[in-house]
Amino acid sequence: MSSPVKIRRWEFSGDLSESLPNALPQAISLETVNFHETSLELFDDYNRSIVSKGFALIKENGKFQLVSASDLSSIPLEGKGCRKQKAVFWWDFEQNEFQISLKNLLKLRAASPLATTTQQAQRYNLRNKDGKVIMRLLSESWLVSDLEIQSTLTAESLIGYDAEAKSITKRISSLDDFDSPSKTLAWKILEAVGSAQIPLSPKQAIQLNSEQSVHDAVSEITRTMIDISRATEAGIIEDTDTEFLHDYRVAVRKLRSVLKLIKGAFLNEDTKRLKDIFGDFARKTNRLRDLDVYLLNEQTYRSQIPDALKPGLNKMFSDFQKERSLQLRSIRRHLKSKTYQSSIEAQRNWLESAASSEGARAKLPIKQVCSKEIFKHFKLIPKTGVSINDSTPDEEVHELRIECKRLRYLLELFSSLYAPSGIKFVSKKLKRLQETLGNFNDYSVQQEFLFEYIESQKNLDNKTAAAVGGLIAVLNQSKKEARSLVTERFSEFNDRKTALVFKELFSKKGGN
Amino acid sequence: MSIIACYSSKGGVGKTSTAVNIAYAASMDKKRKTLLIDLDQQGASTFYFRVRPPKQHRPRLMLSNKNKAFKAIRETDFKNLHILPANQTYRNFDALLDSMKRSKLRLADLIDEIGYGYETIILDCPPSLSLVAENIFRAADRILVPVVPTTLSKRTFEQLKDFFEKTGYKKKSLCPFFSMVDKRKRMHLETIKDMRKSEKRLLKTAIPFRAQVEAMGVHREPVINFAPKDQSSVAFLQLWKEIRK
Ligand SMILES: Nc1ncnc2c1ncn2[C@@H]1O[C@H](COP(=O)(O)OP(=O)(O)O)[C@@H](O)[C@H]1O
Ligand SMILES: [Mg+2]
Repeated sequence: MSSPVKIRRWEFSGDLSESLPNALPQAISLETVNFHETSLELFDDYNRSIVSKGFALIKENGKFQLVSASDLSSIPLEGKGCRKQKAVFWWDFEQNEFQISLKNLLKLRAASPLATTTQQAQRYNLRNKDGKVIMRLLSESWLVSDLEIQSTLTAESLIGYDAEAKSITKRISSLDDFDSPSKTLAWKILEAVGSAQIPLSPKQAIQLNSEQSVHDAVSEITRTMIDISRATEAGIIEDTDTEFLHDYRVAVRKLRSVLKLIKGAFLNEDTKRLKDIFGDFARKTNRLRDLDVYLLNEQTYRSQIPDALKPGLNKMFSDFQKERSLQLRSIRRHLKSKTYQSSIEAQRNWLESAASSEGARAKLPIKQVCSKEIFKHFKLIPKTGVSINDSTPDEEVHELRIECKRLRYLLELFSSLYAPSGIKFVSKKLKRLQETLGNFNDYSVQQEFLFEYIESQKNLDNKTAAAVGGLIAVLNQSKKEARSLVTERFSEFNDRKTALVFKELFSKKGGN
Repeated sequence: MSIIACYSSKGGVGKTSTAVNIAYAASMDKKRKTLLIDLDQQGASTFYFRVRPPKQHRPRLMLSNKNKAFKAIRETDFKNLHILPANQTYRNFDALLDSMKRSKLRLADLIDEIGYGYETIILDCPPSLSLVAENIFRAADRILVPVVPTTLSKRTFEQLKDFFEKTGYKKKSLCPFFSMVDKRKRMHLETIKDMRKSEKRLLKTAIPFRAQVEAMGVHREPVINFAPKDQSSVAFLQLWKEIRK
């Protein structure tokens, strides 16, 4: 069995009842069928992740649906079991195809209602001289606060009547004012409500050019990162999702790492001041972020210990939840405070007039300087790494991890200056090594975190103690496994090919 | 997938009227994907859906090249109801089937191929007791047999049962029901009374004789669509509910 298909779609202007009959052959009659008006809400996250990937999350009559961004009346995937009104996460829905797709689109983000739109739909049948329907037409007008933003006509063919449909669509296409839709409908709706701008993300690479001076490039990165972090404040305060805080921290981290890793852009005292201030800001959010991570991973933790022990985790997670509320309250207060607001604003303003604060390398071209730094840090990795074997103390592994992290930050900050293929290759290589080092570190930190939790509890009940103890044991095992992989991952990274590509990309003797 | 045949060795007993209306009822029932196969050379059910048989649609091609049959399927004006139209050349159908090996299973094979994705398949059958009929008996899960309540029709149904007995088909799949019932006729009332006693398999629903059923020829639509409140429409819907799974 095959299904009827939407075969063509036009954007049109003017009156259909006047233009359409002109396109139809004599023997074909146009029958007006039912008219239908409906109103729906368009949801998306802070980054417009859904619409950017060609989908639209809509809510109609209380039901969530995932449809095509260019055709909101396309066959939907339907979300089940969510009663929330405002921000929704993928995990608010029952497991089905909709939920899986939404998970891939949103990840940890929440989708919130951004726009309301009204659809006016008029259906038509085209009949041949036997009175048989041979094609269906759907005319849709989309309105945002009474303003029409798009009118489309969609042709649907019937099985067995393709030839007829083809010839008629050809005639309609030749009419004046019938063109392919110029822009994705969902974007138009977002534009109409002023929400089409995708906010800058700290993950996006900053676009630099090779001739820019160090002073200029570092200023630009610093400025952008301040702007990004400020834009996330509202989402942190509203607690829409945990990614706002995450983005805030990534932006601040990038700001600090560019100042640390590319020295000599500003006068030393200015660099130090910026580093200190933003270091403070970052530290304030540490605990909240840690709690977010534990709470997001609750299911993973639960799955790692025997069923009998699982109930013992309830108390810990509810304690975390309580502490998170307190932390959030204090972060809200901090972000709204005059002290914070005027401090961050002052730094932002200072950057506008930072021209006079020139450090030792301020005037050098950025590419020359960052290439040198990247190559230097690359060469430091084998120095720390080669001596590592299964019996080296953990401190050395941590040192290697930190060195890798510096290199990754540099690559992230300056990727726009190099050939994408080269950057992709070295990033991938580095990522594999870093993953193992990162896991090793995460497991140690988590173990400590849980120890601290146990120690902070007076009169801990047996059940909780057993469950958390079990978890600590699991983490210890995972940590050991990660540790045992380090040597192997390091030697994979430390090969000739990688060295050659690094040299080619970043050393003076290489391609530059 | 369930395959329901509307069959009788007699003509003019309401096979086509029933096939058209229960196919329509099925397609409107929870949007079941439904395929109506018009096996009668007269093409009455094809006509009722305003469909013209496609050119070059011959049974030899249809059975040898399933793709051709697939391409001949038409969407009716009703979204979940498709039809495989009839063709004049079914005249040769018998001879054709006869010439084939495993001839009694040809129709079942064809349905197997083109029926993929349909929940209900309705066969509108020609009146015959030949190889075509045996193909139908093999292919169908249930066989709806319209019986006009007259002595003659009663005999015809007895003959069909005998044939099933002789040839070893399962009588279980036979679903006789009264068709074109006219309550003013004494013979109808008496035959009904008589047969209800002896024939356990009789469906409860009886289709009344109604002018609106004849009017389908003018409207070229299932009566349930243009006269949903008519007694005949109510009865056809009832019949569908009685036999659906
Ligand atoms: N219930 C009914 N009431 C009135 N006329 C009917 C009824 N059923 C069938 N007819 C008419 O009887 C004739 C034969 O019916 P049809 O369904 O084509 O039978 P078959 O397919 O068995 O030959 C048609 O003209 C049809 O309109
Ligand atoms: Mg017939």
